[in-house]
Parts: sequence; structure tokens; C-alpha cells
Amino acid sequence: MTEREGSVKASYRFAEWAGRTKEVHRDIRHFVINSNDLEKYTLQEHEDLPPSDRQRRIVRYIFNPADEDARRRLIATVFECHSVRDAHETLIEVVAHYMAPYLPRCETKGLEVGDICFGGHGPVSINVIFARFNILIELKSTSLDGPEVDELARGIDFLIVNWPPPF
Amino acid sequence: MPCDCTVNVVAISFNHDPLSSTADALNVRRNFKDTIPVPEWTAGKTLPEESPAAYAIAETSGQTITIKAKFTFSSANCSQAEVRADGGGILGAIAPQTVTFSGPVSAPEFVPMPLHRQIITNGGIRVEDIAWNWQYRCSGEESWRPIETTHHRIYVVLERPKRPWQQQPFPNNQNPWTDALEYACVWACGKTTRDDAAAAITERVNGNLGLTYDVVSGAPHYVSTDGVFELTRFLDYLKTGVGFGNIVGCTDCAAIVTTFSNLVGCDLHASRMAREVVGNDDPIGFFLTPIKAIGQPGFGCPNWGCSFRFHEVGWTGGADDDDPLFDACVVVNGGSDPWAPPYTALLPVEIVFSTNPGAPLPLSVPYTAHSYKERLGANDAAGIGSCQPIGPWGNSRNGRRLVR
Repeated sequence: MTEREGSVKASYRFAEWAGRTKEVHRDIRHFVINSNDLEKYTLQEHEDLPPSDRQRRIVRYIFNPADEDARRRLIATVFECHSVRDAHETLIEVVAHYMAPYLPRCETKGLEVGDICFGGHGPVSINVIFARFNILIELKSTSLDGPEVDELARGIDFLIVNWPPPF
Repeated sequence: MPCDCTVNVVAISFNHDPLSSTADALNVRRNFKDTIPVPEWTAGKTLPEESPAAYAIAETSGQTITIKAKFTFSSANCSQAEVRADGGGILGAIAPQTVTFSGPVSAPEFVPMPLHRQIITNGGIRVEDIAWNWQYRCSGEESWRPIETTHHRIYVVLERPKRPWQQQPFPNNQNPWTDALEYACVWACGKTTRDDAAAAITERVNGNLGLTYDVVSGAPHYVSTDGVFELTRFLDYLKTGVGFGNIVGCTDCAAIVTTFSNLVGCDLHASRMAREVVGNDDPIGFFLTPIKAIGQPGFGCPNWGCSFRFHEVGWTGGADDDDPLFDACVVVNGGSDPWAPPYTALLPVEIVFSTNPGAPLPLSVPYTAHSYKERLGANDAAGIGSCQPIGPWGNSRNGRRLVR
């Protein structure tokens, strides 16, 4: 761990939640989102991205709300990590690339997803990152005007929680 | 008795030597996925964009540039004809040249044709559609007969594109993309120096592309976690307004400026500034004076307040205090008091990071130096004093991110 990564962990109070979430040993495998899994969203595209040592697979999905202009997109990046700890470490690696020194916890903004979750600053929810078990999800809207990410976050979190065994 | 013959042009090769960029065109491709076959022009192509070629001013200056053309021929009583082409725009007309034929095809198959009238080195960066009106006459004939008009799109850049763009190996998905040259050569049109080109591109990115700052988190939207710049998506945004949308962070802006500038021959890299970290302390980054972030209506701060964990820009040299930088993400206060209204918009182009990095803080007003960090940071130890060059991200190929 570099000093800079350490400082990011400090500002996110990493030690308070890393590896301490519920069902810390649960290991989701082969998690995928299919086109009919989220009925309020149209899955436009998905593509694999190169994983690092902490992940088995990274998949980027592009959705748009089913009843909206197809140009209004939500980008979901799914990091299937080797362990809960790796998911939490990946979360830190991702937010270290954000210019904001710290992101607010989602529960302070009325969003209850994942084991640990951070959202954007401000009234419009266009960015959220959360870890559930060994899965890390980063969600971004493509416009400051939305679509907002909260409902999609809940939908994906539901899919993870209900992912069928064997894990 | 004059010879009776018919000549047709069937193929034109601009990049006929992939190991050279001095006497022919650069190695280019269409985009990440699609190559550009050589010869670039073949019979049946009618649109200039179907036959692209790119030339570098520095590498071709003083050199004899050639194209190679293939002709077909029919005649009952001779084996030679003269060929020429009028027009040609910046590549110029092609002087009359005797072509020998072996049966129905020119010999050699691709005939070198020097472009003695090219004016590539005049006028700086540009993109121009050219047309050659090909003509021929058989041995002993006085008048010229038309063949056909061929159309080509010619990109001119200052120098051989710098990384991430590469000439070798070829073909390779990091060879310069004409889909990106299409924008870079317009944004930097007419510029004859690296600094002017990078400045023009920075200005275009900041002011004319509809991009807006990610005020909620400052996240990157076009740079992925593997450090790659998602140029295909960004080009889609430029073309259709979709891609990954119009929200950007500083990492995106630095990648865009660096990638497009280096495509036309600049030598930038995306590099960061931040507070020096000691141990596992809890830095909130460095404090800002009010800025005008890209796409925002006025001076102010992001939703989280007046601070950055880090900031990233297109930087020259070793990204040190005295190296000029280019920042499309943030407009700073260029007035004599950078830390208070009134705000005088100054887009940071070709501005050194700090003219006096060790100056005692707070700095006094009037402050007149053309110096970046003093106009970005708050006027105290937590602002200016905590904003230091820290180099590029580790996965960014030294700030020259691969494109995908």
C-alpha cells in the first residue's frame, strides 16, 4: 500500500468497515446482469474490461431507463472480486481517482444498498459506488440532469443478494 | 503513327512504406477496430474520407514525397503512355510522367510519382479534401485525355504523433486514428507550433464541446480503472452526443487534451498535483480559491467545497514547477488578486506550474505572475502550499494513456 492509498483509506475511515461487513465470507461467482433482469431498464450494451489482481472479472453495462430517451444512459461497472476484502480495496482504488476528497455515505442520502456505499455530493444522485459481499458496483449517470442512479443501484443490489448458490 | 491506347488509374497508395514517415504518409488507421487498407484509394471509391492519408510537417520537410499509383492499359501497338494529374490541393498537381506497361498493368505495378508541388509544410495543421484530375496521352499524341477524378482526405500534423500514438508496429490499434484526426486537425487548424496547437485544443475542449464538470464527485468518466482512455466512447459523444455523456473530471480533461494534442505532434503527458502525503495522514487534498470548472456558469467551488484530492492536467517536460501546462478542466482567476472577486477568467494554457514555488505564504497583492498553482490554490499553506507536482498515475503509461 502506498502512502497515498493509505491516506485515501484514512479519509474514508476504511478501517471501520473494511472486511467487517455482514456475510464477510460470502463469495459470489459468475455474477452477470441479463437483459431482462431489471424490468425498468433496457440493457443496451455490455463489455468486459481487463481485471486487476483483485478481480476475477470486470464488466461494464450500459442501461437506459425503459421509458426514457435511449441517449439517457447509466453506466454500471461490476467488479467481481476474489474476496470481500478485495472488493473493499477496489472501492478505495476507484475513489482515489475521484477529485472529491471524500464522498458521503449513501445512508445519509436515503439510499440503503450494499454493505458499504458512497454517493455523490449534492441533491441529484448521479453517482454511487457500493460493495455487496465480494462484488463492487460503480454507477454513473451520463448527465448532471440524470437519470439518477438510486433505483438501478437497488435493483443491482437485489440481484447480488439473491444470486443463487453455489456461490 | 501515334500509338492508340487507353489508360485507367485503379489504385493509389499514400502510405507505401510503413517504415518511413518522411517520404510518404504516416501509418494510420480508422479507429480502434478498423484499419485503413493500403492502397488507400481503389477504383470505385468516390468520397474523400474513403481515401485518407496523413503527413507530418517536420518529418517531410525538405523531403521528396511520393505516392504510388497503379494503372491499367490497353493498346495494340505500344507499351508506354504519359500520365499527369491536375489539382491536388496541398499535395499539388502531378507532373507528366511516362509510365511503362507490361501487358495490361503498369510496370512496376505501383509507379512512384513524386509530389514536387506539394505545400504540406505551408500553413500548419489542417485537414483538406483534395481531388486529382487524372489524364493521359499515348505515345506521339499531343492532346491529353481524361481518365477520372480521384478524391482524398489529407491530414497534416506538426510532427509524427507522440505516445500513446505510435507508428510501429503497424498495423496496431495505437496507430493514429483518422476518426480522431478529424477533430484534432480542425481544433488546431493553422497552428504551426506545439504550444499553439495544444492551446487551441485546450480552448476547444474547455469551451466548445458541451462538457461539464462532475461537481458531485470529480470522477473520471472516460478513463477506466485500467488506466485506458475510452476514446471510442468519447468520439461517439463528439459525433452523436451520446458516448458516456458530457460529464467529465480533471482526469478526463487531461486525457483528452493530451491524446488529441499528441496526435498532432505535441508532447504532453497527463500529470497530477496534490498535497504531499506523509504516512497515513488524512489529507483532504489542497484548498482552492474559487474556480470556474468546465461547463459551469461562473466561479465557485464543487458541491463538496473548495478542495481537490488531486488535480490532473496536460503537462510538458518533467511536470515540474517550471514546466508549462494545459488545463481544459478549470478556468482560474487571472486578475491581480486571484483569491478574491472580481474574477478575470484565465484558461490555463502554456502556463508554468509555479514561478516561485518557495515564496512565503500568504502571497501579497497585487499578484501579477503568470503562474498556475497560485491562481488555483487558496492563498495559504493548505492551498498553494499543499499543491505540489506528484507525477502521473501509475497505470497511465507515464500520462500517455492507451486509447480504446
